[in-house]
Amino acid sequence: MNDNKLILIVEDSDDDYYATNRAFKKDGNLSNPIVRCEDGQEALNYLSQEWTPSHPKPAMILLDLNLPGLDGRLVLKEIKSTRRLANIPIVVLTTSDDEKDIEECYDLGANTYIQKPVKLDSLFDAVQKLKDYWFQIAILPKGD
Amino acid sequence: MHIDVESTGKRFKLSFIVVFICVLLSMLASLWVWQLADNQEKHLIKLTAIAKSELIEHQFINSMPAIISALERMRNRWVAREGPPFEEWRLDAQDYVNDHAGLRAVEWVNSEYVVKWVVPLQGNESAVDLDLSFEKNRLKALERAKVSKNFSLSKPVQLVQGGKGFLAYFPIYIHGRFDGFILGVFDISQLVDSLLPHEFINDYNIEVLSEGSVMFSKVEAGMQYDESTGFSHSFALHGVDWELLLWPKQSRISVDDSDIHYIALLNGLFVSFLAGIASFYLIKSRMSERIISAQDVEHKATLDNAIDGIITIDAHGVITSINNSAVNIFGYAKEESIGKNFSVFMPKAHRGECDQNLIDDLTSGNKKIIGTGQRVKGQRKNGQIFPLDLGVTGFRVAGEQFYCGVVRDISKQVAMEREREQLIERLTKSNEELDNFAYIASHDLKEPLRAIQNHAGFLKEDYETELGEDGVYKLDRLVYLGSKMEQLISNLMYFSRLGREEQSSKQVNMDEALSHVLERLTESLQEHNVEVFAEALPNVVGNQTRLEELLYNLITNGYKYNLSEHKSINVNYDLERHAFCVKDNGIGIDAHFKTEVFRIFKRLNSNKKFGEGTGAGLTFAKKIVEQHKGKIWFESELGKGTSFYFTLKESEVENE
Repeated sequence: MNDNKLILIVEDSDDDYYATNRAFKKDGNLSNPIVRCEDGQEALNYLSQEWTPSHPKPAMILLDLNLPGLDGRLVLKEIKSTRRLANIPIVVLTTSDDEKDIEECYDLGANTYIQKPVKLDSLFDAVQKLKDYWFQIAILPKGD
Repeated sequence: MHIDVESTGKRFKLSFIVVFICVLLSMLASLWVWQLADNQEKHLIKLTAIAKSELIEHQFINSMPAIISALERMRNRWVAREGPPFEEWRLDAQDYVNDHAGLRAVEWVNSEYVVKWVVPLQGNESAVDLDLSFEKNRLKALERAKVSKNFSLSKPVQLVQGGKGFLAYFPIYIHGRFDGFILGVFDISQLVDSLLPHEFINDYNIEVLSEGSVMFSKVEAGMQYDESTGFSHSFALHGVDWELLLWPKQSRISVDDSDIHYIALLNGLFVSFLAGIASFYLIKSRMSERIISAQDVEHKATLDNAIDGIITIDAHGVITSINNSAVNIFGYAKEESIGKNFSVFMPKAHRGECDQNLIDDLTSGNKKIIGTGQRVKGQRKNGQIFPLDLGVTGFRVAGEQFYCGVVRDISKQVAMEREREQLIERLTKSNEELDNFAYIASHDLKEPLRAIQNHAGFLKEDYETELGEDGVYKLDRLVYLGSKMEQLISNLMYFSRLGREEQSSKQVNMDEALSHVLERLTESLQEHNVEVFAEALPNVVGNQTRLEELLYNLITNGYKYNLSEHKSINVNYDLERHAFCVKDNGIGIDAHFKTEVFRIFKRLNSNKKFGEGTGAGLTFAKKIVEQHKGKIWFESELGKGTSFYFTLKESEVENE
């Protein structure tokens, strides 16, 4: 039943998106729909529309920080300060391991902060764990 | 120029003594002059006394023969008339008495030495019928005259009429028959009085002595004869010795020896004293002037040799003095600047305004400008505008307000400051670039690297069978090298982050820090068969996380490059070197590499022999130590081991 929940991936890099997407689809265990936004503005556009069956509310957002145009931090801030979006778990998935970035993201309301693993195995492992945690262990608010 | 105030003081004392002695001498001179005048006065009085006394003697001696010859004539008439009638004789005698003041009476004494006739009778009654033989002086004179048949003067006698006097006996012989004497009675008082006009001797004491007894005395009560002012003179008259004493009365002395002398004396003393005081103050002021002028010279020299320019202006901004440094700074000669308004030193554009502002500031007592230094613009004579530091202080001299400006040409400082600022700016910019570089390294370099890794992974996943064993090996190598590069980039990032990090200064328990590190390393230590010996470490001030990383790097370094069977690491604080020490029994480092070993990514040994590593551990260690203002060095013996020492404060360093 969790398989229906939409995962929104905000990622400008095609390579990274490919890797993440592939990690989610690995072994065919998960067939959640995935929507990709290439930049912050596109993500906010998606989130600002009415939820419909064909345009569902994401159950989780994977957010890159370094985005062209509207920065990931601003997207995070916007989502967390918008009442109807604030309860969507946001996983910051980024290259940076700078303490400042980590602190800032949690301050803005990020639910998890993950540094993009360099090794593919690690990425697969991390995504697998994310899926397990957010979709099987954690209890999320009911969708609108 | 140095002023020896002490020697000036000594000289002042000396001058004081000299003045004192002069005053004393001058006073003594006054006294001496006074004494001299006094003596001269006395001498004068004495001379007067001598003159008067001679005059008296002269009068006395000269008057006597006239009387004596008159009485002789009378006697001769008696002889010629052979005894005249009394009436006739009386008239004659009366004439003589009247004519001769000293002659008190004329008497006829009969041959029996009895006074028979006395003229005048009045006042001489006691002489009538007096027998003159009653007294030996008289008798002697009578006898002498009778025998010599010539007149004879008696010694001084007490007259029977009263008073003192002497008698002149003129024996009368009529045809050889003795008929008594004509007797002249001389009263000394009358005689002297008649001889000397009253005013002539009224200011002198006079005493006449004859044959040792006082005959006449007109002496002020209590006055004794004074040899210094008076005169005594002796002379003989018809066989009788006379002595005349003459000396001034008190009134005479006080007139001549009057207050004028004392006034003159006092005046002399007073003038001496005043002159002394005047000289004293004159010398004192001269001394002070000398000191002041010497100090002036010293102050002027000090001012002129001061590094800073010093300019004094009055309340209107007119320059009253300027020192050499200010002359050098502005290029105006002293004569050129003194008397001008100080605004000549200001750039033309600012002049009016600055001038007015400064004056306003000064007159309104604006504390902002007075006492504090401020940076203003000055203009040299050649027109060059330059920055200068200006400090102004106010002072009053004799009620007039002045201001003293201390100026310092700070063109060089300003230029240096500007250069420094530019350097800082460039450095900041370069640091920012470095930050950007770190950012690029973290994100932009890593991203494609990661993509390469990922795609290699996918390639392997999707085409493993097609690639074959050789192809898979090469892909694995690709992934491995990618991860290696990622590690290098991460280290570089970490290193740059260490450099940019703000130093936190908290108390750090190094024992606790070490135990954290050992906890983290537990597995690795077991794996490498390492034993760590830790001694108590002192507390330090610093960043705990970084200090733990420091220990971590030194410890791992200690057992990574270690071929001993029982690897051991000692951590302690070396009291001798005042430094922390991490000692291993590893392969040792050639002293040749003492700086090389700390260079980033520098590896002294091959990976194959000592396992994986980027060669950044010691670089991090050095950076962390330097961030704590400490030093790090090592002492090593090849094949036996290495001791790394580090301090965390400059003061603790006692190295190599």
